[in-house]
Amino acid sequence: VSELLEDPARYKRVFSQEILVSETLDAFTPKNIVLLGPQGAGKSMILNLMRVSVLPEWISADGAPPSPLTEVRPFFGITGNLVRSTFHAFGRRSVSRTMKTTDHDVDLLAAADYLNHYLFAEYLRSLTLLTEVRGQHLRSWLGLSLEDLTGSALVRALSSPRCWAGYYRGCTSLADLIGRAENRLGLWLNFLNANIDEVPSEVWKAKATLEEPLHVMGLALHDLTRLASGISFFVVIDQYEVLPELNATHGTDLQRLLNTLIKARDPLVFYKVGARTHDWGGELRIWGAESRIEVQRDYSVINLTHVLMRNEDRSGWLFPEFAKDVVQKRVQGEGQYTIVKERVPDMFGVYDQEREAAIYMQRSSKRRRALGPLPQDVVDALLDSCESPSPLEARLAGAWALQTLQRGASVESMLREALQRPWSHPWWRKERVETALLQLSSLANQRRRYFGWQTIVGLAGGNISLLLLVCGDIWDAAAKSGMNPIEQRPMSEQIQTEGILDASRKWRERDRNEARGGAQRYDFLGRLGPAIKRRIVNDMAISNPGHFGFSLRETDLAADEKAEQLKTFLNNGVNWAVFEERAHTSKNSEDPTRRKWYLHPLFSPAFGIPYNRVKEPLYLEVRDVYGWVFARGRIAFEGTRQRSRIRPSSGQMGLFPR
Amino acid sequence: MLVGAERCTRTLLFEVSDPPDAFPNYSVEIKKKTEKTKSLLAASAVHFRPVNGRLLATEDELLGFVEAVRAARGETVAIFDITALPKRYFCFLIKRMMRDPKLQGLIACYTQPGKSGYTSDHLAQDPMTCDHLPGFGGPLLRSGDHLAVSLGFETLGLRSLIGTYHYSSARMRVIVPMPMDVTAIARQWRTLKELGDDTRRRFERNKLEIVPTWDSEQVYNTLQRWSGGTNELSLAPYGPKPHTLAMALFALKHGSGMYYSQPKSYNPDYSRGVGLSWGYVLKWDGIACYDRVPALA
Repeated sequence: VSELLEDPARYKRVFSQEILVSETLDAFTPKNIVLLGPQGAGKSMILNLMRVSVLPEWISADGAPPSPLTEVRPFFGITGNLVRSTFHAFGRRSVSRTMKTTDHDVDLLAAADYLNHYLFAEYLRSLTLLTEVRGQHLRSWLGLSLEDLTGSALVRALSSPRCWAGYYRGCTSLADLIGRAENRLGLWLNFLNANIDEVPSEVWKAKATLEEPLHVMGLALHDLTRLASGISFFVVIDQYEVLPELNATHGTDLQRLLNTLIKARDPLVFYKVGARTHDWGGELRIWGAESRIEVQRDYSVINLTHVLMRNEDRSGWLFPEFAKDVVQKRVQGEGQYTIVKERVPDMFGVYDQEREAAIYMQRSSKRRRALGPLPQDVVDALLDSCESPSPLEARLAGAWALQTLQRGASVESMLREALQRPWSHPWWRKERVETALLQLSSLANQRRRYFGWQTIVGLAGGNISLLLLVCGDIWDAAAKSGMNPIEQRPMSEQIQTEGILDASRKWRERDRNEARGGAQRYDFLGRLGPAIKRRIVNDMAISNPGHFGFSLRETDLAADEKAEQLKTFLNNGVNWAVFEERAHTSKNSEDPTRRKWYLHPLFSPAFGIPYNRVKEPLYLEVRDVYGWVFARGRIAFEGTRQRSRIRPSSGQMGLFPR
Repeated sequence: MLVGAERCTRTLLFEVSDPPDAFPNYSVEIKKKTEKTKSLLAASAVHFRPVNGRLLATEDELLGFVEAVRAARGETVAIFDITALPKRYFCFLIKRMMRDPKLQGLIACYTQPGKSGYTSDHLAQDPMTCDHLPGFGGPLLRSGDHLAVSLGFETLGLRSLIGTYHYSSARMRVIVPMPMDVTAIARQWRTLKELGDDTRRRFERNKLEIVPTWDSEQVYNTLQRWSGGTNELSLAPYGPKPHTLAMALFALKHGSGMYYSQPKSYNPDYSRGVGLSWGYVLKWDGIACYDRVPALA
């Protein structure tokens, strides 16, 4: 993604603006927006389209934007990457200390000045781009004329306001202004990098105030355009969420500074902030006061998780269509192959449960094994009740029979009921079929096979980066075996499985090596994944088909310090696309709202657990999960209540006589 | 160690503690090993003054340590052992010592591990989000920047560095250390392969430079060649300390930025034994090495 963002032509070739922008069109309207989503959800790709340096590629010769953007007012966007700009270092290298004062506002005044001049330099460079040939169509969309952009009136309007404290006095061109801004930024960087011991007095004397310079920039655009609608001035704030991590002493204060800009609700300047799902909201106060920025009043939220992740009933799920578009654009734009969007799934073929089952148990004689640990006198009758010789049906029938017997039914009544084949009931089957397939692969001592477009879309879990990781690794596996996925479709199950397992392992390693807190998650997953698998493989009755996720009461997660610690751990896991999280209604009507967590679907191949979400996860207490995460012992994937219920007393008899 | 009038005047021992939320938390093992080292030094009649600091020390805190190593009372030479110091410490301190006019001579030294080499386990874990090393923020990046990566045994956080600072494959070059033993060489190439796989980059031969782990000068010269003498080369020091040292010197000379994803947890059995020791004369007669040798300047 990083490469695409800095290459506007490549970005245009691969970005699915038609789908993604139309679904997030609110982000391109004149309001403050916070775009939320886990790592890899596409936040940066969306926000990138706002930048003046990128937009020229998208504007046609007659000055028209791509289709979804025809609905919004033309906009002029700049980006402030808070880490690349070194803004995050204010306070770590402290101005107040050099001035021998304990007033931390001094550091925030310095940071505000730096931010203003940094954004001003970005703004000026963007204006300069509009004066060039490649900016001419964008200029026309914005209703700006070359004469106005190169005239002295604009330079005067930008340099003379009092907010700059006279710093830009005497500048006569955009280039002059840029040079002056860069000079000031250079002085600040010298201080931050400890090249100099004090902030030069000429810098300190001419500090810019926080909000006004950005208003001046917005006003200049507003006055310059000939469009009746005006222009929206967007400021994209990148890396907001890492400020507290990279600057432990002043990071949240720096966030308060940015919150103050949002709170100002300037009618000419609109802020667009991208943040990982749970990284927003930790610090909402503004600078120097206890008042907070408020959602709907000061800003709106667009949550990409809601846009791209699947509802449990699959209704209106956007992701499959989006996925086809993304893969087609990558194959065509980066791979230089021609493929129409509708043929993308053909590369991977159609997933078929019976075909998968047949891979594990090709001979019908193995069906007995598929039934599970049932008494011999039941086996033949049950197999006779099955409609087909499918090992999958046998496994489902076996699971149903075990469950029925465990509930206390007699063998005779179970066999009578079996004649109706209750395991074929759509809902009963749907909730258990994936577990049944996993058990078949385990009974056959084989790894599970993964293939088919539906499987790939499911494993990506609504995350576009992960979809690309999976497709890329399948493509690599095909290339290694000397085949071309475009010409020889669909790719074999073996190749697809190989690529998917690679991607699954890679995602786990990558979280460990790249993401904040990944080492601890790696450790936890390394114990949780096998625990879930043990439970699934051993539960031959498939009594609790949803027990590969767990659920906690929302209120319990705020109960004490340990609960908060666990909540942070889980939230970070969601941020980094390691867990999926959803609110759900408790099966106990008196229970408060609960939340449930599953491992991200892409981990399923690595651990051999299901990836399709099924209702009713394992209900747990905070202390259970806290112990798993922080005590670092072996995990038994069961709750406290279950443990006390399941453990048989020494005198208890087994289900079947030996 | 500070030297004045041809004798050692002061020896300082930096004791750097991992953050409390580091994972895995090795604080107990580290404490034991530190105590053992202190006892060994005491038994060898090395009198030192401890300087305690946090691994994630801010620029302000590091400036405090600079005060500790500032030349005083006729001290003119410092001998600085970088073997066990985190990069964010020694790069910053070297920067300030190079600029300290009272200090006429500065020698860095580094000791390689013994025959047993490095642990086969992870050397470091729990990386933070990528950031510049304190004091090495570099100029505001432009689209023309190139990134030189000094490769280590792991690619901890390197992807996030590429993501944060947006370096494209065409502009990335890699310095591959050539370690002493075969196991380490295999590990090195595996890391390079991972870097290529993970970032979907192909590294052509002319974008790789293989350099012995101890050879700071060759790293410096390579960077010089790659940069064409400009500051448009950013540096990612993930490799051995002498390579990081060369990068720091290059950054000092050219004003380049150094970017790193700081691990929060270091393996207490990072390396075993004592191998060859190397000395690097960074400054003498008050003139920095890169300003002395015409080829380097």
